[in-house]
Amino acid sequence: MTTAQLLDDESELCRALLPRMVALCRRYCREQPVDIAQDAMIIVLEALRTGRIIDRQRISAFALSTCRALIIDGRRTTRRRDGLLSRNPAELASVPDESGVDRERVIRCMSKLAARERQVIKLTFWDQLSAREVAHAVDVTEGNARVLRHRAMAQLVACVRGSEAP
Amino acid sequence: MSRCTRDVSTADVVAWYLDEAANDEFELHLLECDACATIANTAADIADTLAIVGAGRLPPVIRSDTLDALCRTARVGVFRGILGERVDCMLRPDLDYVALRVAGAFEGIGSLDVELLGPDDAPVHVERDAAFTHDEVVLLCSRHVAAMAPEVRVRLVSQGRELGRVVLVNHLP
Repeated sequence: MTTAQLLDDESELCRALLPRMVALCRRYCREQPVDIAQDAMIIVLEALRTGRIIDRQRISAFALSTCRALIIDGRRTTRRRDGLLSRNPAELASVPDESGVDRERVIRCMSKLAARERQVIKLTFWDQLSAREVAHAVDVTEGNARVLRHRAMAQLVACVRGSEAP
Repeated sequence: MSRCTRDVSTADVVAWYLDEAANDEFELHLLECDACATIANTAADIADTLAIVGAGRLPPVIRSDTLDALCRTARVGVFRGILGERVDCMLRPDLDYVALRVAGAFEGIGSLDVELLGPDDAPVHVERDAAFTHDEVVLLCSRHVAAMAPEVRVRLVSQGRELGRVVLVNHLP
């Protein structure tokens, strides 16, 4: 169901849109992406209530620009949140407390990667190196390092989400 | 779970997640698509997990097949011991993790709690419902802890009953 179709029910809208906003925010910031997505969700709700979003098809675009703005300036909307939540059930903009992936499964999946892909993943995520630094470390071009990284990460995602035991 | 209406592949979502540039079209789609958002969240979970592993912050008890996998991806010093005994070791400074495979008779116990003990013998951390097999439990210690503590003392408890202790003693090189 699209966000436009969900507008009539705020709770349903939050349940559908908030995890998507979290996914977006996690790509751009490691620090408190859930908080930023929640703040953005509240701004979206407020905009809906005050009529700042009239065109239902514009809600995703508004959510996207709001997330980006909060990511960029790191602004916190505590006052705004407190005010809005006082008029709502507290769980309205809450994110289910899910543990994410099984960490041990990630390790087992990583061990299945080919040696060079595994090395690229280690340098990227363990050592937090840029693509250029990874390329230098494994002696490939920067483009090749990106290709290796993409391929390895896609394999990891497929393995982690797969039903087979890694 | 719902399918992506645009047939965006896992590789496409991963490419977006890893690329530095913003992508308006994809990000608008992401806010409309549960399937793609789920894949993106999995990619972020994996990235977070790998950062945790790289920082030496794995849980203190892991499955034995996870240890095997970890040994293929990190520098792990693996030692073996028997419940009730002391294990002497000399840890190399370049290790990421130290693992202790503790042999014991765990057959028939319903659950296992692993307590890391402080200097006063009080638990400083309790890992509840830890993984174990009928004859082994695998303890894991980060390089940071191993480097700081001359000995790591652990008590294994099942339903309030102590099964035994094991002590890993690090003789610094």
